[in-house]
Order: sequence, then structure tokens, then C-alpha cells
Amino acid sequence: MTGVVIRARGLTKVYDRGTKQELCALDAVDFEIRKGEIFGLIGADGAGKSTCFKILAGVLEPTAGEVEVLFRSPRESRQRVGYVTQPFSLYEDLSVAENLRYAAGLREVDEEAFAERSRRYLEAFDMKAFTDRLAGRLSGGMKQKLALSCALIADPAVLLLDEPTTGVDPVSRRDFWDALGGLADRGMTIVVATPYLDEAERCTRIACMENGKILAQYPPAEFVSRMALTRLEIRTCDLQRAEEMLERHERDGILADVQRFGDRLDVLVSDPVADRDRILEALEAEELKPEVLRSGDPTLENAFVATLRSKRGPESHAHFPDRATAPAERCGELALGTKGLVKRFGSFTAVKGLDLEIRHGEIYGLLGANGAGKTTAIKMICGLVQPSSGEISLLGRTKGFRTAAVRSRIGYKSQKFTLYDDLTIGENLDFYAAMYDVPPKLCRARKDWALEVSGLRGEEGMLTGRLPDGWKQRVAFGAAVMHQPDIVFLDEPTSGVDALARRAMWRMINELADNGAAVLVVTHYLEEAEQCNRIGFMAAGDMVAEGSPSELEKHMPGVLLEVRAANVAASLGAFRQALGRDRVTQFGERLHVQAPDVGAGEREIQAIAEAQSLELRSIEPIPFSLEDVFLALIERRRAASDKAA
Amino acid sequence: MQRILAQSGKEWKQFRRDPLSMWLAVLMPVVMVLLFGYTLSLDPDGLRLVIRDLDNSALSRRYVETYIGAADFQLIAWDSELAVEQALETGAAEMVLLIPPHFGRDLLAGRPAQAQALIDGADANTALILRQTASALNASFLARENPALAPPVRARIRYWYNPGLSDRRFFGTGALGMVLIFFPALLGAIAASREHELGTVIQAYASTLTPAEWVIGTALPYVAVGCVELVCGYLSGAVAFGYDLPPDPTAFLAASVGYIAIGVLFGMWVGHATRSQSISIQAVQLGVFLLSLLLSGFLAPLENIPKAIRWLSYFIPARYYVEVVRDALLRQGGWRTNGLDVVILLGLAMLGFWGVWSQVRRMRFPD
Repeated sequence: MTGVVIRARGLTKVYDRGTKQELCALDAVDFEIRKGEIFGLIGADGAGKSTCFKILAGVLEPTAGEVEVLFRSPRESRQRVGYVTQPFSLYEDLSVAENLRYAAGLREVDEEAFAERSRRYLEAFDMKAFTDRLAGRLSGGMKQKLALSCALIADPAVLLLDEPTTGVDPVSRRDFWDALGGLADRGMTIVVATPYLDEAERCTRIACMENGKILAQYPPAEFVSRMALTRLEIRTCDLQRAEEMLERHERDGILADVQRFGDRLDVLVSDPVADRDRILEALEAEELKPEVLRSGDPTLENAFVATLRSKRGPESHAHFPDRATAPAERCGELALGTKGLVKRFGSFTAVKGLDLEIRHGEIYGLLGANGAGKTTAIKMICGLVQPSSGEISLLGRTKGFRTAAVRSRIGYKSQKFTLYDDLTIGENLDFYAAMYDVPPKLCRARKDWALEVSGLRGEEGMLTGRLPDGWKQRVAFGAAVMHQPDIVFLDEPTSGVDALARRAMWRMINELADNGAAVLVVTHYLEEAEQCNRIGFMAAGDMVAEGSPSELEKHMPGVLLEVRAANVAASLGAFRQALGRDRVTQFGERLHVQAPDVGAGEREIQAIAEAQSLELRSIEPIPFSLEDVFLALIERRRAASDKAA
Repeated sequence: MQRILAQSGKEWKQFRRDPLSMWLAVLMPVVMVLLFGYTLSLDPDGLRLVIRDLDNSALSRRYVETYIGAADFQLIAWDSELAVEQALETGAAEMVLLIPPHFGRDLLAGRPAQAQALIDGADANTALILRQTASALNASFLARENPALAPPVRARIRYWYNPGLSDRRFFGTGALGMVLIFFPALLGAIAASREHELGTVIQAYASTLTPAEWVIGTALPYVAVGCVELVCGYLSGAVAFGYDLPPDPTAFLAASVGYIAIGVLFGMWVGHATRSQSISIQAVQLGVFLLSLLLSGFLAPLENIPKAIRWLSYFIPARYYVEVVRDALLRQGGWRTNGLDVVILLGLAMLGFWGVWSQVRRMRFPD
């Protein structure tokens, strides 16, 4: 299990060399990947991950450096490498079976092996009933499984997966990672890129990438332990004030980091006892009623933020130039409400009686898998789709949402296409300012603000198309809120940006809300959900659960135990056999086991370990993630509807 | 071989899955051959004639009858009050025959008589035909009235290959030349650009498929589709215009397959170069269709093109193919008469293969 299968030394790729567009996508990258590892490449859009995959797959020539896959050049090893591209390289007008056959034909899989493997994978991925369905008609999760099956059909020794879970619902994502764990245990070497930090946790080792460089590569746990910091989750009665206060402490060097989430602050300190007491004391002096919810290891996100910050220096903290005059008075008023909102498309009901209340000053997250009804709901609220029944009130009105007066008070940032690539950044901002009637005398100040918070001061004249996607997201956000809207709709506002940029954007969003705007975020990213004050979780057109992040966690029965074992693969098998598949999940070198309570869980695990003579290193209770909560809610709902049927 | 089959099988399924291209491929050749055949005719039919006979003698009436008797004319007014200039001005007639007073008397007295034919010269081709018809009718009138004036030698003219001088047969054959390059090129362009637009080409790059295998595997199904178009186009022409295969059709068939392959390969080359379906479709429409139409000798003899740009036609495959088709289907010719054209077409097909092959020869993304 220790042989190095993939080796890169000084790997460099420069696009358009010698021209004005010259772009260094990979900058002298070194890594070694051993047999059976799941090696994760983590980074923002444009960090160089896809370029790296293309080189490893032998479809792109590096500019400099050495690279070896299975002891030969990537091109010579193509026959033994499976490659899932982003977006999936599937023929949408071919059926599932035809896609598989094509992939097998290209790699000269003989008829017998093809029949056996396609049967095996179609069965394993629950796709047997869909062999004749066109790939274009599959859901995101099914497409992903088909793409993986196509890559596996030639039984490769190395599997390259470029963001295989983007646009895939959480249930499918978890199934997918379980499948990857199984493949790695059988000796397949897997390289995977992902924007999701919970997925990064499931890798054996991860490399944090930025601007074509690998900043650091360790196992996920080591990323965290190397920080040698403790994370405190603190709740107070006024997060805004508490954050401002603690930021001053941060600048004075008393604490390492402070970050605001939907209903708590995360504070990183070096001494878990003394620093904690100091912070509580300071907060109490300001009558902020602090309460420490949890004290433990930093998260992987904390680790990435620290890694990026150490390379990049401090980020800008520009405030919106002219704050609203009396924001506090507006806070708490109803900005957006719906009652019994229903939308039917023929016999299909996309939204089944949605009740929403979003107040000024609140950040509300609408979550759900693809097809849960989020987009339809938003379209009805914006007046783009007529509801079948139900009421909507927007800024105190019940109709006429498409009039200019209402629209000028709304900001909207869609997931894609918000900026014109062939205009400069400044021209894009001017265009949005003009479109939303920003008073000319305020224009300059707001433009400067938008540039400042995007980290692009002085780059006004740059063509927008040349920006990496993550930066575009920030400019687009700035453009969407320049007119200081009262309601802001954000569709996956921080997808594709790195941890640090994500923080900067949430700082901006929080400031908007603090100034009295109501913010509605539509997303399926866990990291974004955690930033919301309240979350509504939709499944199949229904609101399944609603509340603050910590209220939602209470929906989760039992506890979660993290187990470290000497032999992960053997332990995973044994635990799954004894406890059932659903209760055990592999996260790299660790296993997560669900149990009714800590004591009973530990006893169960010890008993299995003794019976199978497995060596356990530690068992520790850990908090459920929001993702766990959503998966449980979906599962419960599915069980209920199965029973009803 | 397995990889070529995999590639071809995939292309074929994709083609079959798209009902629009299916119908286009099968119906369009039929429609085009019939459309070109029926609409493109330079032979003026049913020319409208206005007659003003100011003499109204026995001789002038016989003169007029000569015209009316000619099948080409359609008499719309005879000695009506319709003003002569007006008839031409409004486009009501293409020709006005004006017979002055004393026409019969002069003729009987042996003095030269005059009759005036006013012809609308806006359409030069029609005007020319009218002039020739008028002179011929004039001569035949004279010969009949006074056999002494009949010419001593009469040429007996027989038209070979196209005895009825039917424009339909002529242009219908050329239409095959248009169809068999345009649609294969379109299909090739769509196939190649689609792979880039959807990013699926990466699958082929990441496998050990060689560039030649990729080119052959992709082109093969579309060449086959082109052959089906050939059959459809030929059959519709055979039924409507009476085309006949020559006794030895091998030259015609070889040229056709080569020609279709040129279309597919050129389309693939365009699709690969532009990487965009919409751009490559437009490029094929302009580049292939328009140039083939104008520079192939399909509409007008190549000799009519000014010398300065006539050399361009040597690069237009349709130039050679239209020759071959007409030779084969109208003159029943073969290798002996058009062997060189066939060889040039096959050579161009090889050139097309080389062009696409060199585009993808590294089977990876450009640096």
C-alpha cells in the first residue's frame, strides 16, 4: 500500500505563453500519491486543479517539470487511468448503456468483461432500471454515477475525479464517497478535486491549492492539529457588536481569529482556558450575555483560512460608503412573506404550500437538493412565475412586484451570468449602477467600495473575462448591491470561491443585513447554510424543517462518535456488518459512527473491536454537521412517504 | 478496429437520435434535386406577345400567323387599343410586333417591307432568345411566301444526350453536386464542433484512440449517410427527369464517395477549428454552399467567370463533381471521359483526411 503511483516534480503549465493573456495555471507543483490513497485537491475555481487533472490524464502537455503516472508518462498510461471530467463528459443524446459501451469500446474492453462490469456497476449504483434512459434526462446524481461507471468500465488502476460532486444532491454525494472508499480499499488510487470541505475531510491526504501552487499538503486531521489552536463556539445576544469587539482583540493579538456564523461566533484561541475566560469577561463587560456552546478542534475551513491568510496577508475591511440612516428601526419588520404558496406544472406540484417570513436585518437560507422547489419558489417571489395559489407580500405590497419602484429596491445575484465578460470591471459596475438608478453623486464612492471589497482596487480597467470565477463572484455581488437594496436574493453566492474570499463575501452580506436589508440565500452548500440566521430546508416542494442552525441540529437523534482505528478498511467492514451500513461513514483515516448516546455507542464499538480483534486508537463524540441533519431529514421523509405509499 | 467501431457506433447513434438531421439527410436531397431541377430554367417559356397590325392586309395577317403559330409565344393582345409602349413598360408583354401600314402593298410590289419587333431588353438572356426567334420566324415566313428566297443549305440539327434540351435534366444533375457536399459537410461540422462544445472530446483524448482512428471513426457514419443521400437524390432525379446510370457506373460511384468524404472531412475540419456549432454551421453554409453554387459551373459555364477569379474554381470540388455527374447521367460517360476528375476528387478527399488528421494528431488540448 505504500508504493508511489503518481509523482509530479516541478510541474508547471503556462497557457498562451509569450502573449498578453499569458496565464500560469500550475507553478512548480510537487506531489507524490501512493497506491490506495484518496488524494484531494482543494482550492477555488482557477487554482489550477483542472489543469493538473488534464496533465495527469495525458490530454494536456505540461510546460515544464516531470510527471509520472504508473511509472510511465501520463500519455502512455492512459489505458489504465479512469477520468471523470468537469463537466461530465457524457453524451446526453445517448442512453446509459450506450455511453458505457462507447467508453468500453474506446478502451478495448472485451465483450465478456464489459457485460460483467456494466452489470456490476449498474447494480451497485442503483441504475439497472435506467439503462435505456438518455444521459441528458438523468438527475445530477445519476449523471455522476454514470460518469464514474464509464471511468471504471476499463478497470483502471488510477481514478481521476475533477469535481465529481458539483451539482449533485447530498444523498448522492454521500453514496458516491462511500463507493470511493470501497474502491480505494481495493487498491485503486484516487485523485479528487472538490469544493466541499466535508468531502475534503474524507480524503486520505489533501493539498490546498491557490494560484497554481500547492500551499500545503497533509492528512485533513494534521491540517487542523498543526494549527495548535482551540475553537470556541460562542453565542451572544448581539452578534454584530460582539464581532466588532472581538475583531479589535484580534488586531491586538489576543485571539487568533474570529468569524461570524448565522447564530454564533467562532473564535480561535491558543490557550483553551485562559483565553476563553478573558474573552468571556470582555463580552460580559459589554453586557452581551456570552455563552460558550462548544470548545474543540478548529475546522478544516479554519485551517484553510489560516493557510491562505499566511500567504496572502490581511484582507480589506471596507464598509459600505453611506450606511442607511436608521437601520435599527427597520430591523424586525416583515420584508418578505408568503402564505400557502403553491405552484403546479400540469400534474406535478413543484411547491406545496410554502409559508415564509423574512424580516429586515435577517439572513435566511433556503436549502434543498436539486428539484426540491427552491428555484420555483424564488421565481414566484420575484414575480417571474405566476403562483397557482397562495399569497406573497414583498416590502408591504401584495402585487405589482415587476414595477420599477419595487425592482429598484431588490438586489439579485444569480449563480451565473451577471457580468459582461467583454466589458471592463469598471464598465460593468457603471452599467449596474445606471440600471438600478444609483444617484450619480454616490456612484463614485460605491464603485470604489465594490472594487475595494473585491480586492480589485486600481484594476478598474481590466477586462472582466480575464478574472478567475471566484473573483468575478465578488465583483458580481458588489454590482448587485450597489443600489443598496432592501431585499437581496443570492443564488449560491460563494460557489467556486476559496475559504478566505468566502469569508470576505459573508462579511459584506452581514453588513447588508446589519444595515436593515433582508437577505434570502438559496444554496445547497453546507458552508453557506451555516452563515444564515435562519434556515428553511425544502424537500420535494415541502418545507421540512426551519430554524437557526443550532435549532436544526436538535432534529438529529443520538450522537456521533469519531473512531480512529489502526486498520480503517477492516474496521469499516466490521462496523458496517454489525451496525448497519447507514450508521457508519468513512472519513479518510477516521470513521463516523452514529449511536443513540455516548455510553451505549462506546460499548457497542468496543465490543465489535474485541470480537474482531481490531485495534482502536480513540473514540470521541463530535457534533453533527448540518449535512448530517439534512441527510437524516431526507431519510425520515423518504421513509414516511414510502409508508404512505 | 474495436475503437473505430466504438467511435462510429457512437456517432451513428447520435445521428439517429436527432430526428431533424435524419429527415434533413433523407428528404433534402430529394427536395433539392427537384427544386433545382424545376425552378432553375433559363429556357423562356410562354413569352407574352402583343401584336399591332396597322396594315391588316392578307399578307400582314399571314405574317402575324407565323408568330402566333410558334409554340413559344402567348398572344395577349391583337390590335387592341392597348398602347404599345405601355405593354412593355408595365411588363405586360416581353415583345411587341408592330406592322406598319402598306406592309402588304410594299411586299407585293417587291419593295422591302418593314416590320418592327420591340423587345424588353431588361432580361438579356430572354431578349437574346426573342431576337433569335423573331429572325428565325421572319426567315421562315419569307421562305414560305417566296421559295426562291429559301436558303440553299439547311442544317438538320439533332440534340444529343438531352434531346428535348430540358433545363431540368441539366440542373437536376448539378443539384446532386450541391446536395452531396453541403449536407455531409454540415453533418461533419456538427459532429466535430459538438464534441468541443460539450467537452466530450476529452473522453477520446484520455483514451488511446489514435488520431487516424478518431477521424475515420467519426467520418465513416456520415459518409454512409451521404451515400444514402446519393441514392435518394439519384432516384428522385431518375423518376422526375429520367436520369440513367451509365453502363459502367464505377467512376461515378467512386467520384461520389470521394466527394461525400470531402464534404464530411471539410465539415469536421471547420467544426474542429471553430469549436462552435453555430459558427461552423454558418461557415459551411457560406463556404461550401455559396462557393460551390457560384464557382462550380453549375449555373453558368465556367468560361463566363472573369479570368481573374476563375482559377478559384480549381479549388472547388464541386467543379469536378458536377462534370462527372453530368458526364455520367447525361452522356453515359465513365473513366475514359472523366477519369481525371475522379482522380482529382479522390485526391482532394485524401487531402481532407490529412487536414483533419493534422488538426487532432496530438489528441490532446492545445497548449
